[in-house]
Amino acid sequence: MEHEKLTIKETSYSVNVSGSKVDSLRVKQDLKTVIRVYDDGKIGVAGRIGEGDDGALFEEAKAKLAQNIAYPCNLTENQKREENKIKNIIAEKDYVKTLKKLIARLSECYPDFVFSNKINMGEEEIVYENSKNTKYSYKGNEIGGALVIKDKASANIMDLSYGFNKTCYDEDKIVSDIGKLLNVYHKKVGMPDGEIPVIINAMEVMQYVAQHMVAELYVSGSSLLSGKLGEKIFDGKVNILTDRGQADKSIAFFDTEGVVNKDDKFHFVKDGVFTGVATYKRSSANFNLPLSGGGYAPFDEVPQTSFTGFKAARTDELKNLVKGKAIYVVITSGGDMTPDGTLGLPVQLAYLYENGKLVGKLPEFGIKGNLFELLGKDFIGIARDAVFDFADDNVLVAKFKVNNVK
Amino acid sequence: MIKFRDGFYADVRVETVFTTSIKYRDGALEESKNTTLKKAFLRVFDGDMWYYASTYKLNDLQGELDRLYENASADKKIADNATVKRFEVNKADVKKFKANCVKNTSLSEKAEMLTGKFAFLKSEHLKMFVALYADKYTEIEFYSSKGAEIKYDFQLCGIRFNASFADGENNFTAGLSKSGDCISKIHISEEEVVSFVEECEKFLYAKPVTAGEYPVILSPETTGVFAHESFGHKSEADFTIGDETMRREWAIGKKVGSDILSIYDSGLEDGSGYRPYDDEGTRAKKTYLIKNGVLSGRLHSASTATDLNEDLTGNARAVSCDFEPIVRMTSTIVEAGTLTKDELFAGVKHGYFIKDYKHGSGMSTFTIAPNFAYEIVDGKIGDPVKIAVITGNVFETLNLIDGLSDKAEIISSVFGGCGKMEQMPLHVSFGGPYVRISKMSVQ
Repeated sequence: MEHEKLTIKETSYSVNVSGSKVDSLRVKQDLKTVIRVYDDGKIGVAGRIGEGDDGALFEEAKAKLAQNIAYPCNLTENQKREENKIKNIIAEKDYVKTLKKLIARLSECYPDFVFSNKINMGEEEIVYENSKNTKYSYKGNEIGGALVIKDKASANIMDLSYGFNKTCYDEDKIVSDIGKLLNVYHKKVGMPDGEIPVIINAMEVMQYVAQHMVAELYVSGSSLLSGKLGEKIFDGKVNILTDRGQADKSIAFFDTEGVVNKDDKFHFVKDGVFTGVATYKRSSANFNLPLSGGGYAPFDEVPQTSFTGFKAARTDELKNLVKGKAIYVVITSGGDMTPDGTLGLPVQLAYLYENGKLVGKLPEFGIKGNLFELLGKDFIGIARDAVFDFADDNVLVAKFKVNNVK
Repeated sequence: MIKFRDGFYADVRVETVFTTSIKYRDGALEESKNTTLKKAFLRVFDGDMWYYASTYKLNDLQGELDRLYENASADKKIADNATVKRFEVNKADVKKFKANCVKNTSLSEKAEMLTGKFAFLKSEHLKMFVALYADKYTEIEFYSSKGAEIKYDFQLCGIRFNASFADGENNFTAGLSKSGDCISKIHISEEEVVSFVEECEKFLYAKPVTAGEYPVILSPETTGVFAHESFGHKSEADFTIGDETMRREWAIGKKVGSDILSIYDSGLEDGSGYRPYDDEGTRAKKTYLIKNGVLSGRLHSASTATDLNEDLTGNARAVSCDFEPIVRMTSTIVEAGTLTKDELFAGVKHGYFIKDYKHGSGMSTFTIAPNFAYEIVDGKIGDPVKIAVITGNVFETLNLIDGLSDKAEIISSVFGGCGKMEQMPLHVSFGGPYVRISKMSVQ
């Protein structure tokens, strides 16, 4: 009988902002231990919150083998690696004071707007070890903000947002970034004539690609990508991958099953060619597909697929992809993709982008496009969102069809 | 026994949560587990800031509380604080689900509710199916420094079949599910499974729509999403804090919708929105958000009720003991009207019937993405259509409701729930009658 053990220790500090005032501090501590045992092609899983007796947890996991859940035992052997990515972001004792200062500054700089929601700073320590002499450990921390912003003159519950997830904190850059959205918020501009590129957070489109890359769906034949492994499906500049080694993100280099990818990366699409699907140990074994390192089980679940570290690689700088005007999408909400791969995204807030800057707010509209065309003949590129200095998501630049202009 | 200090308001919420999760894929068991977790959430208020702790250290609750006190500053007049004065002091022990608790049914009996239907999931185009059973039984204990002592329980369970179909380039994925507050309410019949498969097969060949504005009829399920997304979120009073425009625009008594429209929220309805007390210890109430087209109320925590000088409504809810309570909906319902379903459809020359939803969202524009949608021609349901999303401006659409059928249904779900900021999924229920809207954007 083989076994593996996962220990996850998390501490987080979270301030809540309400009506442009920091009104609370939440401290959260969590300690989870999970033991999985493997015997005769079956898995048994048991989990515990807090400290306790690992021997008892092991026996509990052993008893779960009776559930008869088939699962391959394919433990990583004889590997050791540890990584400590802890950085000094904000001292715990200064956390409330620092963020009160940020919110006060935002209120002063942008008095026509109300700020709310959360800014969290969290630290995690994850240790994976198994009966085949493998031990991985990871420590990292991150600060994440998701500020909801409302125009004081508006009757909406929110008008826009600004988010970031970083391993550092820079108040000046956050204030400056938000200014780029708010300084031209009240300047209304019309929808430009003719076909112009659309700049949109890359994940707005990539999430749909990911859905169709899950091994079970791919093999069943009901994925848009079924049967296309090895084929060129997108523009030759498109690379889609999981990258657990991203320097400015806190991501453990191993998945919940102790799988580590070469160079901490796994490519689903390489140079436009569909090279891999998302797997974990069960789907990898069942369908004879390579492990993508996507095993995920937040607690005592049997592992399943995830896309931790998922991203579309940058192809160029934004200034090179867009010369002149473009539509810069800030908020879409509630869109979806029809079974034939047509994306329909209602755009609730967009700006006119010109020569690297946001110049005014556009009316509401919708955008539409076929997935294969948006990443194929209508694809322009993927770049760091150079509109901002601190927030650094990737944006997709592509030719969408614009409809329903209000 | 918790010792509360003078000079502060404080409360302690302890949750014991039993869950079951069973999952089959194409008939093979992938998950089968019961889990019981116990955690606590503590709050201290000093009149200026709230200090929260989420902890698994139940044997050190006093220590956790004392550490929160150390961060806060005592206020001798805390009892006079307007928010603190509003907190109800209820003492109750309301255990409604002890007799029919999901814990009393074995894993194998729960699994049989799924496996017994596998034989009916048949089609030459069926490529994959996932069958799910989930339940959750929660016991809450709540104690406050004002003297509240409340114990209550709630539960939810459900089964779901997700199926993916494909025929060449055509593919379609949808789900059949039923949820309720006890196992006897979630049975899915063989006929329902067969009918679901037949309907999915038709949707493999659904025709595209020409994007534009059309009359739309919403099913009770999508009516519920509409009520939740279009107006429910706007009724959550935390969005109005420190915002004079919102107070002016959303003044009680303002006409906001069609005369036939009434929407209420209540934690007293059976199902996934049932909460006899909220997570601040406030007793559940029925609150009309819109009555005959007029803004009649909004949803509150103690803090927002103080800010707007309105009554508590029992809507301060947290997803779990990992989070503090914020203003959330419970069961949000559009009241039934007077038309029969046939009369309602007869009023549409050409439009669309939105039978269910994959997801919805609500800001100034609200959206519903359907799985099953049909064309309506001359008042009759016609061909299946492919619709990515229907959208409408909240303020306009509430006034464009021109017909309601005469029966309301309340829909519960153990799978998924409402997301607000960092807290999701929160179990809520929603529903209403069939609703006709004279114009919505369809794409």
